[in-house]
Amino acid sequence: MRALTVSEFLKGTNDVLASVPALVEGELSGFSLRQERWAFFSLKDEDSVVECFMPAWKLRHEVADGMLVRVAGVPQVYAKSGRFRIVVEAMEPVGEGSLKQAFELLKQKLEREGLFAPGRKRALPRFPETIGLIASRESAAYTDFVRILKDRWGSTSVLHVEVPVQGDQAVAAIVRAFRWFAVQHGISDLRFQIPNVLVLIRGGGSLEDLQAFNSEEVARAIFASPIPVVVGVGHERDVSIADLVADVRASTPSNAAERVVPDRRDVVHEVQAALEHVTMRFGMHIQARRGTIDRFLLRGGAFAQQRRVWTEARCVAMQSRITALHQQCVTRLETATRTMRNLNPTRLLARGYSMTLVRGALVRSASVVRAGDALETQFSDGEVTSIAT
Amino acid sequence: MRMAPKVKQPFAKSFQELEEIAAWFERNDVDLEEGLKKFERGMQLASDLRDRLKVAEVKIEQIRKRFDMAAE
Repeated sequence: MRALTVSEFLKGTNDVLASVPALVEGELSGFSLRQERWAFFSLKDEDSVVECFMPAWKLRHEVADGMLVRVAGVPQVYAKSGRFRIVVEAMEPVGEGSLKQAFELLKQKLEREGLFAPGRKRALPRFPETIGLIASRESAAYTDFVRILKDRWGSTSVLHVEVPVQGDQAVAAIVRAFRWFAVQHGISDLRFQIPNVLVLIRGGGSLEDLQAFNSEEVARAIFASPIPVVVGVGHERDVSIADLVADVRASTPSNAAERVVPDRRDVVHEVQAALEHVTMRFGMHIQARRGTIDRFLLRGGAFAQQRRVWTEARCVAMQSRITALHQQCVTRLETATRTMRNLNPTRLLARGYSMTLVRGALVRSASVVRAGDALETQFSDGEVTSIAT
Repeated sequence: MRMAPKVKQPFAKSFQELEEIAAWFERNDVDLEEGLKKFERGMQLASDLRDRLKVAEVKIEQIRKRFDMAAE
């Protein structure tokens, strides 16, 4: 066998090394970024250390020395220096401590860039015609949001974009959803309802579950959105990065529905109040006008007297017409309010009615119940399960 | 009195118009003829808003695109 050249030897070695799977976890140390393009660092445990190299654009997370990280890549000997290293494809922080640290670093970085600035946050439209919803339909967050929305408001439509909210597809899917809405917003196509507000929601979870909502890509997608964004993460004490970038942060998905549409009952009162105000003011104006005419005509003679009577009759007619109109409107608004209140299913339950379900479906007739069926009866304050005989 | 046919503009516009009419009546000098016109318009708007507030249906449309896949 002839002797190999150094290059041939290293090439052969690297070919063998390429088949060695490199998925390594260790402590990050000596991290440095050269010319904004290349990242050099070492991975170590108590006894050993290995050098690593990575193109900067592949860095998806903020990292710092001391952090526990997991890298995936290819081991090789760098021919120019003869040094062994791992060429890293992907790196992520592991463990609660590292995730928290990465979160803090990203938060500081984005805050410095101004992504959280209160001044850039946009106001939401008071009566949105269309709401863009980015959520997972399987989740309780979705059901809660839709339920509260329907209870509060009726003249709006929702465009729902289904995305995974955790797992390794989540970030890309959420970013694409925002981009899609942004593109639609740019096209002024009258056939398509462009949302006036976007809502991004999910239920609560561990720090690892919430990774997508603490990612730089999703944060930048929210920041770049031409449509105002409401973010609602369920029942978390800690605020996510998506919460901080959002135009409005809702405390939960249900609260997101409260922030995005008004309560129709409040608006009914406002409309009624506006109407009453207008009626009162108009009435005042007419009264004032009558007074002026009165004083003017008193100076005149019989002809003026006749004119005065005629004008007064006209004013009275106008007044009673306005009063009648107003009364009609008030009555209709009151009826509407009462009807709405009585339609509320919770009120019906409180009045003693109950709902019974069999096999998950609402029972309207005794004929669908068979002996042995499990009946689930919902009262206003809870449920009772019983077996039909 | 018959109520005028449905107002064909977004809820937000009708509500804003009603607020503007209310503001108009704040003035000290109000022409009665114009006032009557505005008053009737206000009634019409209020009636339409009231009807729309009664609607209990929220339309939900599912966008068919798959956002968890690379192809768009």
